Amino acid sequence: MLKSMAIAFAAAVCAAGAASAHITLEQSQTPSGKAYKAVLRVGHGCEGKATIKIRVKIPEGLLSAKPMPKSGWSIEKVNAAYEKSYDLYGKPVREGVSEIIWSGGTLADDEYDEFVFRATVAKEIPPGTRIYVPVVQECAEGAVERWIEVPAAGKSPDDYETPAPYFDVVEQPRS
Amino acid sequence: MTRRLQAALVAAIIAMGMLVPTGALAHAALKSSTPAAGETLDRLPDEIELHFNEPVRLIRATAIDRNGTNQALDADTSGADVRLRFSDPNIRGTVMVSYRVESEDGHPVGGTLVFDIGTPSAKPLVAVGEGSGLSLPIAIWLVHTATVLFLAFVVGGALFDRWLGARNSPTASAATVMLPGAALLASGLYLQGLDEQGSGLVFAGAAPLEIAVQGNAAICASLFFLSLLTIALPLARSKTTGRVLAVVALMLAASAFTFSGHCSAADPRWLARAAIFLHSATLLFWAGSLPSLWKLGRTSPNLRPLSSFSRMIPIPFLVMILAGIVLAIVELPALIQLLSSLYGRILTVKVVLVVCLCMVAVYNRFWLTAPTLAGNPVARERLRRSIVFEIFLAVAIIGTAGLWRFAGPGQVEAAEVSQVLSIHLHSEKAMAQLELGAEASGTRKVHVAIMGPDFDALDPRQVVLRLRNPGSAIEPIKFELTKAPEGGWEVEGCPVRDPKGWLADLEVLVDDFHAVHLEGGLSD
Ligand SMILES: [Cu+2]
Repeated sequence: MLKSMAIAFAAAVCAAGAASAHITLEQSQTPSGKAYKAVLRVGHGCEGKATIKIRVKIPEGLLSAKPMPKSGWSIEKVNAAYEKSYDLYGKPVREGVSEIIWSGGTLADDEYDEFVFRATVAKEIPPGTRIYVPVVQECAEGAVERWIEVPAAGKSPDDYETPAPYFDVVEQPRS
Repeated sequence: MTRRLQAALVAAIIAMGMLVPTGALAHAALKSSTPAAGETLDRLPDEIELHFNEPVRLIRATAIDRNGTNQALDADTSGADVRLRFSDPNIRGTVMVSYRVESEDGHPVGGTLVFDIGTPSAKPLVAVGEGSGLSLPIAIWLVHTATVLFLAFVVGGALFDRWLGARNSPTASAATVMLPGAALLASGLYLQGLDEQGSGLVFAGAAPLEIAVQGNAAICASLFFLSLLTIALPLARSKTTGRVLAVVALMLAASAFTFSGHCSAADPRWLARAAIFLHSATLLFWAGSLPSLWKLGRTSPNLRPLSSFSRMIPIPFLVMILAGIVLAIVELPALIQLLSSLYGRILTVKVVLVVCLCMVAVYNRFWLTAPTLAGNPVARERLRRSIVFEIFLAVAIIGTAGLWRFAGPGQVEAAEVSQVLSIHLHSEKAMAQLELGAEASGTRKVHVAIMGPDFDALDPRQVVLRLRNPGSAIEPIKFELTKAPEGGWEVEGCPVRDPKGWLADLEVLVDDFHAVHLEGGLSD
């Protein structure tokens, strides 16, 4: 009984995240050391203008990020050194994709779309860490929205106009 | 539990989850407005329109005109559009429309729209609550003075009676001490809350008390209350414990004073606080002794307390005056300010009163006390009359000192900075120097210099300033700063005159993906 209640509660919490107007991540949590499929949901443009570019900063600790191609959009990847060296399946990695840019398409203000990439959460990232994925949304006529606000200590994403999307790293489920 | 009940419970939890606000993910943003922010119009339009990016529910909307008058606005909301109407259509000058809406996700979002009708106000907007007149300061002063006098007569009087008084001197009942005491302390706190809230002398529910209990005034009032309670304890009636408790009560009351007033914040703090403690303890004792001495001269054939008092009073009196001098020096570094500032003038009046008091006290002690003790009825009558005069002087001194609340030494500087206001904000990653200068139109020009944490150069991509005034219900006004020709960032037309109550949030975009927030109050 307790278990089914817990599952229902978890499902309810996930469902609660479904309808959103900002740029958010579909999956709100993932175990450390595993691949994470990041689905960025873009609900609207910038003050009524159509979105023409999405730039995603791959945060420290997300390794070997790979964007999913998207018809009508071209992809650009920026490589950079990580702040630290990470162990990925027994091999040290010190650099990788640090930014993914989708451009060339158009997404009207009253339309919805998803932009997807996949990355591995480094084993070194302890459960309980909240990872913020800053996104810059560029629109027609030079308009820009930056979903990059990472809450300061004692604040929540709610305290900001343009919070960065985020997910939580959790304990590996025991099987 | 049956399976069916379990299933129902699970379904209920899921349904609840659906109703949970969509969790910190979405909040409404203002897309556009008519008039636009900063626009100048010939006359007030019939309606102010706000367009959001998603449906909203209006929580409140108020307009503040150039006189600082706050009026609630009539509103119609349909989906993502909010239309606001003024009840008084004859508004001219700069207008601030402050709104607070709830988004679909249940998250409240606020903002302020500033525009001009006709020409911008010649006089900048006043913070709400300013100009509420003298009634609140007078009420605060009266209650404060009454509280200090009450404490002096109860606590100082008890100390006199227990240590020097006649054997069976009557003790005040618990009710006559606690009821007026609690009433005075509660109303003092309430008035303090009103003052912090920025409203005038009005009844504003429990809110002012809630505000006041968060500050030093609450510590002060609690210590006063404890002090009165110590005197009112039934235990305090017995001889030995009564003596001890009277001393405890005096110490509690005197330490309360170290939490109030400008002095307690002066540097060096330990010296200022020690001086306040000694000054107020001796003041309470001496002022509290006067009514008892007066009564003694009228009724008691036993004048022994008078001779004891006369023998020991020079010591506390000297302590009181020395501590007072220390405080005056700590507070008033430049003697120049003695007559140029309100603080200095109050000090001058107080010193004159204290000198008068010293003369009366010397006359009492060296010319009247000995003949009175010797049984001279003329001297005795004169002594009683001069004690009445001393009580008057004590009331005047306490009343004068109470005026300091409105004239801290800091206010000398405050008058100067009202022209150019300079604030330093910093965080771990950046710091900023904000300067708010006066403009001819009456608004302020904001100039911001931004540096890295070690004073190194920082060239941000974008700087946004948000100013809000929670006490006056003014939601954030957003200013996008532009690069100034002489360096730094600037914006004109900032409608803040009195910095009191305004909070600044400076958002600095360091690079494409990093923003730093620098926060602080304009009056800090
Ligand atoms: Cu929200």
